[in-house]
Amino acid sequence: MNNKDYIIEELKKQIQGIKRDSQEKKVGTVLEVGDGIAKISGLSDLMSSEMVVFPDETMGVVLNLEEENAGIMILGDDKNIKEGDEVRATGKILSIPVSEKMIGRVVNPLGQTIDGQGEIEAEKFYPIERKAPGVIERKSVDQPLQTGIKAIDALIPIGRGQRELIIGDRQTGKTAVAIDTIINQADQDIVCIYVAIGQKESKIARTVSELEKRGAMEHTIIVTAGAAESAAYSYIAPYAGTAIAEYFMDQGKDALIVYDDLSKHAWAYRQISLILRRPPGREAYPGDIFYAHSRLLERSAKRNEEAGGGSITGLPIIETQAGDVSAYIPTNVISITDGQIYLESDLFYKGVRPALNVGLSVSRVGSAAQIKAMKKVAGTLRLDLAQFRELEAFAQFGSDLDEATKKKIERGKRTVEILKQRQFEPMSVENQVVILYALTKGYLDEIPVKDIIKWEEEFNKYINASHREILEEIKEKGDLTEELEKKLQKAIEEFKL
Amino acid sequence: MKISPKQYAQTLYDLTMNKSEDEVKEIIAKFVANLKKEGLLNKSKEIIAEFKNIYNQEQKILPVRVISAHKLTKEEKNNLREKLKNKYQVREVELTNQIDPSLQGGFKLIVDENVIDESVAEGMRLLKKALQ
Repeated sequence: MNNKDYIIEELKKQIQGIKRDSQEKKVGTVLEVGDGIAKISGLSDLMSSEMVVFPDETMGVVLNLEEENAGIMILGDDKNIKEGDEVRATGKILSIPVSEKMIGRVVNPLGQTIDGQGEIEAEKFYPIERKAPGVIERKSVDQPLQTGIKAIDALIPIGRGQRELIIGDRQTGKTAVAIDTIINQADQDIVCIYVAIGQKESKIARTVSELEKRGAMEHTIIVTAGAAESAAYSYIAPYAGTAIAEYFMDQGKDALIVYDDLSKHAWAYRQISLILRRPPGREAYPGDIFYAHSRLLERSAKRNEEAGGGSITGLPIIETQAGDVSAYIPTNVISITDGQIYLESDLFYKGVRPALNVGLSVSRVGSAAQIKAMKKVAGTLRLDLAQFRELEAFAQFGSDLDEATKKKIERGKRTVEILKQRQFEPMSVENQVVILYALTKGYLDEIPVKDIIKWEEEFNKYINASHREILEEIKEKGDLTEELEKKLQKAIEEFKL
Repeated sequence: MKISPKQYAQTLYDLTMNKSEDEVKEIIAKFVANLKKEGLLNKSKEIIAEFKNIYNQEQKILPVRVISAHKLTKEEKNNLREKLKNKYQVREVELTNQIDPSLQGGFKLIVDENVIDESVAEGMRLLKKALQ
């Protein structure tokens, strides 16, 4: 009985403790609502991108501030919002909760978990829009980010803090490249953030289960704005993902963020802008679409030690239509990023996977971050491939060619074979180095093209089992010394026998 | 230059200040004729709204909407009027009473865009939030 009285007393005390604030509050009124946008009047001291709350606790963000009214982007469902409803201002810029515990979870762009494994307590709140680090805080890219994909790590290396665009038609393996990169970060001490923008829920579910299956969720956060959610979610998702990445960068950690994909982000922003009656520009995109993307990707950075270190590496994805890279959004993002990985459907159907077009793909800063051993073996690779592409057309003349040309064609064919790689099978950089060494030094010239993939598989097994010390040394030193080269040569010859 | 509805309303206010009823009638007739000439009759709604604002501001009249669950008695109204006069330092309070049973009790004052919510419904909402 005592307990009951105690509970009741405590309840009474608590209820009395709740202060009714009979102070004045500023409220606005909904003038019109539709298509995820509300127009409100009142609330004379609203800020731009301030959060507002509707009576059903739905949130909104101020996008347009006009003389007598404001345009609000509704974050969530607009079904329960009616004309005449009261709107309360919060006095806060749109921010999301961030926390260490987000790792391994699936969240929506407002930082709320949607994987049904309970809520996460916020450690801090980060504004979703923040100014990118300035010149003084930055440092040039000098640490590699290994994707585990031979073609990329050798030819288009990516550094921590770089922005590398993945571009290509639908069904060319853009997401696969990004997912493989995430899987390969398992023991690299990098927090990965995968932002799914306007994707089918089924595709998101598949991605999550693939990552889970390969143990990659242990270092990954997924931010998702599905195709069924409102365009507002799709619009803020990449900014929210970057805010989470910044939380880790601010602790001096390295983060990798994948935006899959920014074409859909541009569509979402175009929709919102048109409904807000902002003037349309080229392809009906709003005038500030370039700025929307540039300010987002500028937030990927490598910080120097004085600024606490840490980095955000950005991998934006753009989907082109029928290989047209000169459309509006692709050209914009190509010019913002530090290089692009260009995937081609022709190559994909030929069986070259990843369907990387080596000629059109570049990395403008990553080569500075490549390890020395890789630089040594990959140096001639690009040239070999370029010459091969030029001579490929002559290949059908077969015997009429001179020896040198024939040799180049044969080498080219083997190079293409070696650069093929199956999905979800990232390879460590040491293994990449030894295989590319064998290729560029001509050890594979005797092996028939159709057996190259088998050779690679067997050789990997052999070297992992019998010559671990070579791999360990490359990993440790990052260089291929003469002494080590000799050991490697011997190992390769032994395997041949 | 385009003249805004606000400027029209201000002009109308300046013209009609301290004028007798007959004079006002004449002024308004001329004013409307001018509006017609300028093709601005479709803006009349906005001009009237702005005029109301200006008049209230200049004459220190405060329009207040009171939403309550039950109709307010005369005494309650007077009481409220006096309190608001002191709080906002105005000469007169223009009270309009609206009935909204969903408030359940208490009242809700709306002054411009400011709201003082003393209703039972709001109290319940706050209580619910605090108990969550």
